[in-house]
Amino acid sequence: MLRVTLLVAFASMFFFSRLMAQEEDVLNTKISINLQNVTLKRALKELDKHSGFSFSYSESILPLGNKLSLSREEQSLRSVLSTLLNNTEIIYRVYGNQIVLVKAQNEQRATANQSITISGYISDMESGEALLGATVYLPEQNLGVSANVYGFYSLTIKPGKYSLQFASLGYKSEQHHITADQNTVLNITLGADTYQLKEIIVRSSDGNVHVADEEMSAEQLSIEEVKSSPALLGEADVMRTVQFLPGVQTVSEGSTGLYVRGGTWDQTLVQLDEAMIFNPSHLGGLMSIFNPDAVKGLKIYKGNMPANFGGRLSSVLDVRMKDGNNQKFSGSGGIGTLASRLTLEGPLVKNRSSFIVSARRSYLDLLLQLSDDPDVKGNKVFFYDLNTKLNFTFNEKNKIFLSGYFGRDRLKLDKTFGVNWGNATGTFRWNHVFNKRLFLNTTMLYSNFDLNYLLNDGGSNNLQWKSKLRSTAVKFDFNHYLNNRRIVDFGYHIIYHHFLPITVTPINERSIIQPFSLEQNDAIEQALYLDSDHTISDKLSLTYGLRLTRFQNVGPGEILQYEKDQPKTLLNVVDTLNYDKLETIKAFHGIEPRIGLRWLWNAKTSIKASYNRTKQYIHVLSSAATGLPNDRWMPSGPHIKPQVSDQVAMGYFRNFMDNAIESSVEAYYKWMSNQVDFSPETDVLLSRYPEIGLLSGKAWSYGLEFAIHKRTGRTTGRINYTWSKAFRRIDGINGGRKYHPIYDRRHDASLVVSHKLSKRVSISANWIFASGRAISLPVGKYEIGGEVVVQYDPFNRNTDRLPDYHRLDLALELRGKNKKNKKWNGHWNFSLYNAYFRKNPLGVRFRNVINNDLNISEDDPNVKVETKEFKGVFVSLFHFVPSVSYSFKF
Amino acid sequence: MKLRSSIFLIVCLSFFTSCEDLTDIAFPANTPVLVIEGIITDQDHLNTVRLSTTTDVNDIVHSKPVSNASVKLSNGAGDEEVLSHTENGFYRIEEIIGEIGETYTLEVSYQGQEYLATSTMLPVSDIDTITYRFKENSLIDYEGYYISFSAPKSRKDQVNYYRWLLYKNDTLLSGKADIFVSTDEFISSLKDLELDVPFQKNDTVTLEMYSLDKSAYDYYLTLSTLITSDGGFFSPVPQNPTSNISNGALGIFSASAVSSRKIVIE
Repeated sequence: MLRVTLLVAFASMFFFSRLMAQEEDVLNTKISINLQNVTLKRALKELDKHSGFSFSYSESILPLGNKLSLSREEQSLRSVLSTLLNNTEIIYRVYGNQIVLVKAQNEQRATANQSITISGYISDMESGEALLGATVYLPEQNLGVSANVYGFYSLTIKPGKYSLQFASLGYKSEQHHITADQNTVLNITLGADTYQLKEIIVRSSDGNVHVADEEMSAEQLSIEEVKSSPALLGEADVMRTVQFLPGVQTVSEGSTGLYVRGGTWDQTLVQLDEAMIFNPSHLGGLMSIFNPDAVKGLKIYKGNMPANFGGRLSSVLDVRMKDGNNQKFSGSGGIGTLASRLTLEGPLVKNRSSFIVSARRSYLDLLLQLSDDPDVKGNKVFFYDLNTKLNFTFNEKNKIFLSGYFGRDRLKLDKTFGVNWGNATGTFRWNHVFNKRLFLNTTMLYSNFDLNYLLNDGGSNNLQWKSKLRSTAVKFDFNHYLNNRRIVDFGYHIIYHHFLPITVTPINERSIIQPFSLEQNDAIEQALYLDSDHTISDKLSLTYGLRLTRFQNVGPGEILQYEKDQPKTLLNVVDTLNYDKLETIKAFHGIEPRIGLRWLWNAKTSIKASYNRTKQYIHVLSSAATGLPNDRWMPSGPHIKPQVSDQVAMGYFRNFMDNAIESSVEAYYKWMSNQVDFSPETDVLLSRYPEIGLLSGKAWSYGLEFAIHKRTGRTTGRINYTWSKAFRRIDGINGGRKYHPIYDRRHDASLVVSHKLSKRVSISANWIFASGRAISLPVGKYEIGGEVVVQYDPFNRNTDRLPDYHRLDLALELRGKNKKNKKWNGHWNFSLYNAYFRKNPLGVRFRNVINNDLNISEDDPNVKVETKEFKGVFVSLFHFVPSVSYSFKF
Repeated sequence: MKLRSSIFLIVCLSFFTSCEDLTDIAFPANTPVLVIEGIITDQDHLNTVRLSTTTDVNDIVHSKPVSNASVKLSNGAGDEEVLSHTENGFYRIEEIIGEIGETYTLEVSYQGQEYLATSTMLPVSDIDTITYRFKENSLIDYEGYYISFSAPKSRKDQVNYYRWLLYKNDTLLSGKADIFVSTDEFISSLKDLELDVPFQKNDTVTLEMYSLDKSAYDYYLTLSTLITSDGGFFSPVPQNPTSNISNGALGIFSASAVSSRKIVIE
């Protein structure tokens, strides 16, 4: 026992004395070095290797190009350094056994009372990709900050010795010991977590950010998590993965729409590199438009949205595209069951500029071509995506990005029917660092969605439909890191929404269709915001912000004036007003406050609460709850009021097992006004005056969300459970009584697990359970004109439930050998969607069943009708869908 | 309408799935509601009112006829007629003759409840031509002869609403997935309009064209939406058609002018 104590004492003395080693001792250390015609960077690396001291510096301060030679035997480090740094502006200082090189002009020693700032970018070691949402954590101070979406961080601290822990999900974390006594630029690169079993045990963790951060009702997902999940038809899908999260509901299979905390799909703002996406779906909702190879990461906000987001009521899905590898040329791709993809990326100028091009195309139609049946052969159904991005780093302070997305769906049946739609977006971004604490992102955005529709019965019934929506925006977003207790974000956005006229034209002269065009109004949306993140004490921190919005519904257009307090019908029109282009028809103003607080109980536990008001000024005109490409959008104006939502949420956050497991419970209550619906006889698509038939009312929802997330170790995964209720009350629907919207579900649970069996083999599984969504079941039937018609209770809408939804998905991933010098790296993914053949009904429809055979169409004239029974039928999709995909990197 | 089921079929086949199964869901018990289907035309053989009540969803009988209601029809001129029950819930209009431009009111009294509906008879144009063409079996069409017709707009410079009925060898075609109703708001004329029903050789086809007023059009349009509903997934939540009858009765009362043409497929 005594021996042990002595040993410990001896050891601590040794370390103690080592730490106290004087600067002089270090500089007097004798070293031998021989360098011939090398750069300073190389020289410093050699020195690092041979001297036993570690050198810290930002590469940007090193002069480029200058080659030097130096040969010294048993010289003092001081003499070697002064020779090396001769003719440069670099000076050095010694902290313990660490030598820090800085630019001479930065040398402003801070006094003990002053604060100093450490700032820089955090990026991927291999590719140079900025790591969005990476974190910097100071364990001694229990202080952490997150990098912004461009990987920039700024940390203001008192001078002293610190160990900084840099971390990002899926990366090995790095510890940096620094003695902070002056403003420092510290650019960090992190290496990706490799599949070495030993290392997996001590996987990265970003400390207790989950608990300590003010953020709640938000979730960040890495693209690796999306990719490791079992995929439908071999296509990893961003939005399907998001649907597992608590508080995010789906209507059902075949729909990528997100229904967040009782909101509708169009109340979620979907952004790709900050450009708004009107309809983020392929194949009518089966897939989302995000090519996983081109996506870096994503984040969803279900409430308590930062003030720089706005314009939609319920949530924000912020998807970020990869910047492109600025270290080396590389490629990746995959061959799947439904689609194939290829991505190329590489530096234009190493470390400074890079590009990425990523393409994806489905080939269902190519399979159809193989068919012998000429009926099948002539059809087309496919989609494609193209993502491109360029970025340039001019210097430490200026970076620009140019990115674009272009995607399209085409469906063509025979010569009779054709439809194609797609999004196109463009983003220009300029990141500018004014100083260590002030960061500006300037963005110019363009987003376009168009739909073309063609119908030709070979006779006089032929037409072509075109509709188009376009948004252009300029945004200025500042991050101001005032001090370690306060970050202020502020900015100004202006968006021009251009709703192009819907046009219908005949295809040929036989057509009886009268060409017509449906003029729509445009809109200008402006926002000024300020968001403050304020640490009041060790325990308490506050976030508060305000978004001021101004929305102008502008011409061109024709607006009907109706008699006051009378129903809006053409009979009650008293006047017609005509507006010129850009003339303001009606202006709205909005004050959207938000406040959040976090009480840090201890390092593992916190309580958070928030309130948030949001407004939405553009609306989908539809009485259906699922999104379709032909949905019509319309700005708020004289007859459509802006939608308003208020949400309060409270959460309990707790980490376990040294932050390896994160858990939370959140409760929310949300109430929304001016929700849009339509009377059933309104032809929303073609109506010149959609306000005739417009119904509006309130919606509210509340729920409890439980989440457990294990992020590190061989087994990772999530367990989520949501209990929720959603209601609507619309005058003119359900007799003005409250009812559940169709996406209302009481219970929603998911289990997402991934386990690494070995370096090369991993398995994953999803199990989803959702209690049945709300539906209206008929209460009877009757006959009209010989047709059997089901009868509904007009005062009990959606009081019934579909059967529970559940399914299991499995995936097996096999990786190729990861050898050092092997460039090609491939892996196989075998997925099984709905492994136990569950038939999950989308809905119930009613029809005549002929001869007891569901496959017989009652329209078929060739069938001899023996029995004809009127029956309810469940419609379901995807019972047991296996798929294989091969992905590669080079 | 083969097109719709074809799209569905392609999706199903593509993803190796069967798509439909009979439901095992228990439907709520029915509380009978009165259904009124009344029509008065400018032709003498088409003027009836049928009354029935709703039945359970799984009942073998689709509707139960009502024979003991009091039914009264009146026009703007003050003429009144009490209709008497003939059989199977049908009440025959004998005295009041349909005239274009006239507004008719139907009053039904049943089990102590009063139901009221009005409809205006708008003019309908004559069918100028009727032809047919043969189409081969394809993804979109069943093999057969398809009828097309031409007619001028019923009223120029005004929006008109139409309903078409097809008879095959004097039997009304019903139970079809589509109800043919349309507005001429977006078309220049009713020229070479093809109806999506295949006929066979030697069929005698009768086409009737009815004028509708706006509320009758709204009814048939929402009825068609309901009949073709997928149960509220992509389509709106299914609900009863917008009726022009008061007090919660289901159905329609429509005054229509009718023109017709007959053709034999040879």
